Amino acid sequence: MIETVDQSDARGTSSQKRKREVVYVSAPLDLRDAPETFHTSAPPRLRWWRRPLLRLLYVPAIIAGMGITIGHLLKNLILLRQPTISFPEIKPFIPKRFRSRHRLMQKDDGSVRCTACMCCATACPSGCIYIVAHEVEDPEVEKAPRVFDIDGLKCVYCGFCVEACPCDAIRMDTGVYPEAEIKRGNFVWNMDKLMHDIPDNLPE
Amino acid sequence: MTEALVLILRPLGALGFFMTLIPIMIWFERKGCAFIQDRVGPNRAFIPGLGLRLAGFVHNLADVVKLVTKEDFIPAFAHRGLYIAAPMLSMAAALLTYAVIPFADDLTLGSVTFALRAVDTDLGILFIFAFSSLAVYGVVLAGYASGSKYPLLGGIRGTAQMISYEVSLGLSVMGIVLIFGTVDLNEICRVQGQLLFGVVPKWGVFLQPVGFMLYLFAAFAETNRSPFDMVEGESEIVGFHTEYSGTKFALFFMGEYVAMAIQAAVIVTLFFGGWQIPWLPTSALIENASQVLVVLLGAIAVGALGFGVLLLRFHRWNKVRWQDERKREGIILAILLGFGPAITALLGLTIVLSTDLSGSVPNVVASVAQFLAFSVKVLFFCWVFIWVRWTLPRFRYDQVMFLGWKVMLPLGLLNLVVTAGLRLLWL
Ligand code: SF4
Ligand code: SF4
Repeated sequence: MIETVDQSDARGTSSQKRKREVVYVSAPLDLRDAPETFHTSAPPRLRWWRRPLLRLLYVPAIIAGMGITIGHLLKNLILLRQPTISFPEIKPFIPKRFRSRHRLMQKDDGSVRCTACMCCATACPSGCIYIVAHEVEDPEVEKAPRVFDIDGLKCVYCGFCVEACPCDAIRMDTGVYPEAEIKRGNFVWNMDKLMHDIPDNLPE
Repeated sequence: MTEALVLILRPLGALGFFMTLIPIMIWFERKGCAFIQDRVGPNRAFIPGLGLRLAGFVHNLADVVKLVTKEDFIPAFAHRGLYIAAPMLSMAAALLTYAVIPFADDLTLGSVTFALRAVDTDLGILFIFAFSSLAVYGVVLAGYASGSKYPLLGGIRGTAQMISYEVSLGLSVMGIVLIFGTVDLNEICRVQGQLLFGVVPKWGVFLQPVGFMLYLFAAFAETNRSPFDMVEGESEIVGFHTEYSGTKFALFFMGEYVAMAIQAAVIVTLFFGGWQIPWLPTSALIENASQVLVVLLGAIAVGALGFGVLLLRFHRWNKVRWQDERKREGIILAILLGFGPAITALLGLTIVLSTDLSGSVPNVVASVAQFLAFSVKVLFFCWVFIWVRWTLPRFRYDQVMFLGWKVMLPLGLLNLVVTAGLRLLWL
């Protein structure tokens, strides 16, 4: 067994005491790293609570441990400062650029800004965007989605669809993320939900 | 007539006490371990309509509903009879033990005097050992009858452990028996009311510190609680009740808690004076009954007030979290459990101050005070069981056996010999 002197005790014990504290480490994989001192003579004296008999009774260590746990308990009982968040009643803090559930942008007249160019569906690595296009009167766009579904269970929230969109029609800045649902089908968000079921005062 | 009533009421009262301790201990366990680990603990389940969560207490009700309505499954390869008998044995062995534990000194009502414990017998410690060691049958039969490997391993390990520690358990109590010269628990309690050198109460823990430590360790091992839960060992084998579900599992679960509560009661009775209030023997309690009552009511008023304030603080803390009917809970509870009792106690206080206690009322007051002292001590030791469980890691199997046979047995023998020697010298 290889014996090293524990240098890690940084709590200001005197150097003589520090030298007596001995830890046994298993042999390092690379023997060139092994310390010079090998265990040859009788093991050095241990401090009283590390002596075999007292250690066998486990009592000093047990008392120390129980002090730690009751300290935590009392601190939590009196100060009530557990970091737990009561999700879903309270939402955790969501950073501004968090990629959350998609939304479809609207034009000034309230119609969908998307022109059904299929760029997002093509870019999507998980193939979860399903678009059916139809013709519209507006000569500028000519096309618009009739169906625009995103399957939230397949989506990996990579944001490629947002990058791919040439007319900034899809964004992932709602700060909403999917929670539990009763049915799988509820995770398929249709165009209406993507356009209207979003928090207010999001940037235009 | 009264005799018959007393005969029926005594066991029922004792049974009620230990059965009430079960949900309290489960709640202690869940909430306590959560607070030890810097969590909030269970607080979701609530009674719809009332909106009461009772800080996780309702989870016990939910558990009961779940366990009772669950399918009572018996594996095809199990030994049917033994499989069904095992949880019953486990629970019965745990429950029978409560019979001899005294809750207060003998109570005199009019001309009748009766002991406040379930069965008025002087078997005491012998009775407890006889029945608590039956618990091992529950474990080993469950393991054997399940017809599956993991329960069998758990059962065998548990049996070995329980039998090993039974020895130390018995030896550590021998010192107490030698010193007090009786096995009757009520008598032991009474002797512990005397004073040692005129200062400290003559509690077992002061006379037999080593015996107390040994008994405490052995009690942990006997009830299969951590750090000695060889029987369960969730990380390696699931335990002797792997194949159990529904009500049968609930019986094992409750049996563990009852055994714990009873071990706590025995520790209190043997080493911490039982129902004795330190420095206040029964006669003094009866003589000064009205002062005792005043102090009791005052303590209740102050405690309830503090509890109410604590509840209001919890309420303030919770109010921001819940947007539904649950948010009213804190105020309701603070009034019901905190300020209401406080006001009632204060009213009682004024009545007590203006009247004289007569007849057998002082005796009842003394008994109630002693019972409260006993309950507080028992609750504390129940908490110690839980506290240790959430502090210490599990022992390895060889460490358990080493501690049992090579450390505790010699220490127990030594303790016995030294006690016997001192006893010989002193007499
Ligand atoms: S975020 Fe990624 S996976 Fe989800 S819809 Fe957009 S492209 Fe597809
Ligand atoms: S890339 Fe933009 S415009 Fe094209 S289909 Fe997708 S959302 Fe519509």
